[in-house]
Amino acid sequence: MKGEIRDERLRRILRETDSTQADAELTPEEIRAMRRAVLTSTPEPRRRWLWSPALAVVAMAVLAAIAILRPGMDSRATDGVPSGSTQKNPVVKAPVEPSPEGVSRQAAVPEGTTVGSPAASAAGGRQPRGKRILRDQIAATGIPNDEEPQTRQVQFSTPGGTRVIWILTTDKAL
Amino acid sequence: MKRNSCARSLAFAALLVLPGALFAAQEATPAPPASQDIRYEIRFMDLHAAEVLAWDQCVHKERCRVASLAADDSNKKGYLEVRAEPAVQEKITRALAREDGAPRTQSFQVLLLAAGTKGGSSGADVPANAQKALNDLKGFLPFKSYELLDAVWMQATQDRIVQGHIAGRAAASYDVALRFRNVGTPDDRNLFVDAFQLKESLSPPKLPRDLISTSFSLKTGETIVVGTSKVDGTGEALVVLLTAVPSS
Repeated sequence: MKGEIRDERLRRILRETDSTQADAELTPEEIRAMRRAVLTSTPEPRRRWLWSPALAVVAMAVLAAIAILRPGMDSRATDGVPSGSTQKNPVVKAPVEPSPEGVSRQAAVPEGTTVGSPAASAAGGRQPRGKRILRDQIAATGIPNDEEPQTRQVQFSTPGGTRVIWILTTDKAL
Repeated sequence: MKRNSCARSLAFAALLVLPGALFAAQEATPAPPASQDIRYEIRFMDLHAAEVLAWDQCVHKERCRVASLAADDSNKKGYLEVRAEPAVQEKITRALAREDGAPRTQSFQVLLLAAGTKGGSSGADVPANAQKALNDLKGFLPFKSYELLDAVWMQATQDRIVQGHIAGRAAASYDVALRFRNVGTPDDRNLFVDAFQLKESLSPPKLPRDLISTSFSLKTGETIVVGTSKVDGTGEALVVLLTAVPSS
């Protein structure tokens, strides 16, 4: 009983002697201002690795583009192979233009011809569109000049709608 | 006053009776017949086509379940599992008996032409049904002559290889082989030639030489051009005009 009275007395004395008792509380504005000050004074964490996912994506895209474009570049490069090079049979001399006057025949190829392969859509140049697509398609086949007969298949539709499946072969006995 | 109270009692009684009458009417509506599960064996039809055929017989699609199972056995294509009302099952049974009773047969016309860079035959002797395909080809490929070497008519049964012999220039001769199967519904008559081969017959002991080996889809009545030539563009080309002849 005596102890409780003593505690109560002590509490009262402490409250009475508390110097901050009379101070007014901080207003919400002051609280916000203090918070702002604290937060803005804190240094931002270093974002050194923030760009790493983006860099990885860009690097992947570049690698994929190189991987995709490289075979096409190779096949286009056969157009410019000098006669003295090791490539004896540039594949752009396609069977669909066996005529010696191939240049004049190119103009006879009708426009709007579709070729069944997506590789054919990646064409460019000054030739008529149908011929150009077919040439690129055939060039993309990249048939090596081996002893064993190699075959490649091209599918396309003529402007009249007839579907054509053409087998290109290196077989000399044909 | 008396009349008013009487009318009110009658209206109240009608309100009481109405839900009961409606409930009785609902009970009187016949419940849909119970569905039954049946597994059909598909022998010749394309499984997808059989599935479509089964669905076509089902009037209330929400009450039907159709699933197909491929079979490892070469004697049949697979199975069709159908859950439907008995009336629908009967329709499916009849439709399958009609469409899957016998393997499909198809006539093919095979024309072998030699295309060359020198002037010569213009392919005038090519039958009329293949003239359009030849004209399309002439407008597209720069060969100057198209000479008809030989023609053969082949009657093929689906899923079975059919072979024909074609004569070439001089002593040359060729063997043509094909196998087809039916795809799509029986009405649209779409085919898939899953094996088409042209071989040059050589005197023994030499083995026949593969010239063309490919596969393609084909509609009945359509003519497809299958050709081969050397990649360097020299020499002649062999051109096959293949027509799936519509049955008369």
